[in-house]
Amino acid sequence: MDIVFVVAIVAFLLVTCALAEGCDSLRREP
Amino acid sequence: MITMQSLILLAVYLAVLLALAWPMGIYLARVGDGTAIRGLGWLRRIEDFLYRIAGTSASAPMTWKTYALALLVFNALGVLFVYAVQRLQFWLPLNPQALANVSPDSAFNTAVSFASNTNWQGYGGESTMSYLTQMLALTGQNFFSAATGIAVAFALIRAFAARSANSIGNFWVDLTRTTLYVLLPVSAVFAVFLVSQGAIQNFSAYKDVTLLDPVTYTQAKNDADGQPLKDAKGEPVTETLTAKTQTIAMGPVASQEAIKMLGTNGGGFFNANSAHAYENPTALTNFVQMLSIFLIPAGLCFALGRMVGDIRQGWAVLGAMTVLFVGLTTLVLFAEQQAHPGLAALGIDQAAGALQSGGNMEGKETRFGISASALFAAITTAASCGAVISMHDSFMPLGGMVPLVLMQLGEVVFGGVGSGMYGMLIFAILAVFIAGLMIGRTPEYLGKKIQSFEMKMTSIAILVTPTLVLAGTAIAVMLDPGTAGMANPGAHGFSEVLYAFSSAANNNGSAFAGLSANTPFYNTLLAIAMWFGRFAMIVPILAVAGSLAAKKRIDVTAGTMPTHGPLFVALLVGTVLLVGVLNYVPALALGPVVEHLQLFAR
Repeated sequence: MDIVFVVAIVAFLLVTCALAEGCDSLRREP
Repeated sequence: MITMQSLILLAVYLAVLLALAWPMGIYLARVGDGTAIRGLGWLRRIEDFLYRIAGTSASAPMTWKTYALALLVFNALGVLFVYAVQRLQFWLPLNPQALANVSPDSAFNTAVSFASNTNWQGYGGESTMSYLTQMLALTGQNFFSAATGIAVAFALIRAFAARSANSIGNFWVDLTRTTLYVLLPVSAVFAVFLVSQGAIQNFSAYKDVTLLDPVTYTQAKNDADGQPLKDAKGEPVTETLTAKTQTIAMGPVASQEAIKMLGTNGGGFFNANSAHAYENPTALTNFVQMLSIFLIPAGLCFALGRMVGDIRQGWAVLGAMTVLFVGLTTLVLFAEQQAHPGLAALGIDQAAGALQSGGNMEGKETRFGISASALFAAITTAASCGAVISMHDSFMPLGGMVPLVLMQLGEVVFGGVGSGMYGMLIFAILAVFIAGLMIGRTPEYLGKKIQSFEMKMTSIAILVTPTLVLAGTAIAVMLDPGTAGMANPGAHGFSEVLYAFSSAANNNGSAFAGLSANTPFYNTLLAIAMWFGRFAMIVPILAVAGSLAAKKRIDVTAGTMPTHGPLFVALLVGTVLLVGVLNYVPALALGPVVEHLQLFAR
């Protein structure tokens, strides 16, 4: 069960990093 | 009817807060600016030493994306660390009660909760957590989550003050300076004060004491999952017990209590939180605890004014926060001083007098009464603290709606340390945008033009939490595992669920605690709300900071809309109320509003 929650924590991090990437791509739009 | 005692308590509280917030604001501005602080050269040496061993440089600038990545990775590592300590605590030291390892879903929920500055607690501290877990994992995150919030506020304020800069600062420097110069020293002094008043600080095993009078009582029986057992007719199954001894929980309480309040964390060492005499022993500690919740959020208003070079801007933000706070606090004081119609029908005296505080005393401590309990409830939910001295679930319908609304406004009425400031600045950007639409000018705030990108990010930041709250509540009330946790059927059960998601997504942590939320369903769903309510809001705010920092500062002209006067304060208050409350009107109508009408229509 621990592995499920550890993966969930890493997934939280990756999704939020993807949000940052998305925000940055909006900024670079003309 | 609000008693004179309540009004005097509120007035004295605000006066003392203002007197303390001013010097705190001066100090915070120096910490945020990175300037040396006179008389604290020895701390500077410790600071430099920490940078050396960490391999970072105080002068290494970060773009907003690098800053965000450092912040996210640091906090995710914090979650993993807290999770691991809970899952291993049985084999680790400082566990005199030999408490078992925390279950995986509860450990997951708690780890996210403390890293996100929410401190929602599905567990009871004294029956679940070892001293090591409380001190190393939970108290550690109390410092780091608070420092993270303040770091983001500093980054955003510096962005307004910057001129065509690529950097918004350095996350490691902000984290280190905030912890070293602000949180640690103030917490140390506060903890010693708490011990002087009777809070405990020890590593003793729990004490069993013999009661002078054995107590016989009846209680509901629970199943293995902690859910109430019911008989064939659906009535609760009860059992009668006689207690001859009582176990008094011990532990290193004061050291956790100080940062719990100062960092607007709110997670209690004990299950009863600040209602417990070892956490909050006297009326004086109660008053100081209330002050400590707002101290940094109010101080940051003055720090804002100093860092952008116009102290009037700080006063305007503080004014908007105070107007909202006084209005909603007055409502909760009024609601809780009311006589409960159910008890009034039985002829019970609920009037305030020399021998009782009157009003709705269910779930409140007689030592605090209505005034302090209602004021504490407003403060703890206006800030994203969530510590409690009374049970919000037992408030009158309108009294319980006030903490709910204060959270749903986005925790910007003073708000959490750092998060209240950056949340309110985002609302200020929205307010000048609306004003710009009305007067036909490009909006400006604090010398920076507000353009398309800032508004996109502002929209994301403002809409993240309502989406999480309303979607989470909808899922929970549609599914059996969600409705199984409700203590009350009907409107109040809905209010309990709405409160839980409002608290989680806005990183408050208090609860309508009738909800049985320590289940895999709620532990998982609320963890999602807590993480994204915190970090999916911080990311677009840091993006705004990066964009603003890169812009030139515009000089004030005759055509610039002033953002330091009463007109802007009114506009800002209106924006917060309209955007904040309108999202939730249908949900509030189904919960506390219906409850109020049902209660007083009888």
